[in-house]
Amino acid sequence: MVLDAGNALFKPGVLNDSASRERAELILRTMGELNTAGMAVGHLDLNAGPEFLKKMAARSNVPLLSANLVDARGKLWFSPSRQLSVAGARVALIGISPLEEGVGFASKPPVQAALAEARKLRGRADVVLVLAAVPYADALQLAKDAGGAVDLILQSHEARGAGLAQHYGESFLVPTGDRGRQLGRLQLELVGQGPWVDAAAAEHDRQLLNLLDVQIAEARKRLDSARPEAKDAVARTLRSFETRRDSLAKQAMASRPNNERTLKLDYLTLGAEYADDPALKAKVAALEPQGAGP
Amino acid sequence: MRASKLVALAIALLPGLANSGPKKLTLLFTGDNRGEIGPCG
Repeated sequence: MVLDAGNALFKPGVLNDSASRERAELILRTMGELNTAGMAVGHLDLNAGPEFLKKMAARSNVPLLSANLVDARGKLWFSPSRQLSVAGARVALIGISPLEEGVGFASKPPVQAALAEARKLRGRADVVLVLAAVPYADALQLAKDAGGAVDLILQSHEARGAGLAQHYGESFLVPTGDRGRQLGRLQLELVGQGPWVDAAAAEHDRQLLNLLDVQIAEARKRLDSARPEAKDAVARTLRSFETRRDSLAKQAMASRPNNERTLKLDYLTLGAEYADDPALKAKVAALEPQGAGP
Repeated sequence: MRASKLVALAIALLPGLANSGPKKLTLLFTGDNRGEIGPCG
């Protein structure tokens, strides 16, 4: 499933010239060709206004989501959410936009809008994911307030780049990259409806347990060959390693219940090792010749 | 957005998704592309 957390279409500071609109259309068409399942409407997607954006997205077949962007009468401009089934899992996608006003639109508080939508969908979804085109502080507030209603928050607004999945409450907050330099990848494994576990943290625990096993084995050898006056000190060291190992093993077991949901996050940096799509490269060259280089 | 690379990579990754077992899913995502379509930085 391909997703975009928003702020995809216009460059910062550029308003609404025809070249910018053509570039935005190319990006949206490309997202449509990739079968993008959902995109949040961010600040940098609204340069040409919500009406233009809505028409362009319909032509490109890209589902735009915003649970809080409204017109002058208070009616939502876009769908707040969508639900789909992927590999047997029921996924609910919710979009939110930043708190701002512009020509033909305004937004309601995004955190409250996301929470209201998430609580409606929670019982019908294995994964509730918010595409959060809002400042980091708002995404963080959402994670802290969600109380189990939201599983994953993909955030964009300040171009924070790639990073770790941050665990707050029962949600994970995930940065989404910047300027198309990388493609984020989240691999999810749903055994049940238990707590989320970051596979990277679990792997770290496993490596630490292995290291402690090696240290314990070495300490036992030293104890066997130690002089009588040194045996007490070596025995204390051995006990400290064994205590740490037992404690870590218990903690690791507690965080890996048998109904867990696991996530593994990485980013694929789009460098020379990945080939270009020739047809799209030609379209980019026609629109922006300096941008079609190697 | 390194759009042409993104498309080629996403297409290469997506066929593998069909082979994933039940309740295993892969999400590919971008954000803050900021109107980029050519190589940058």
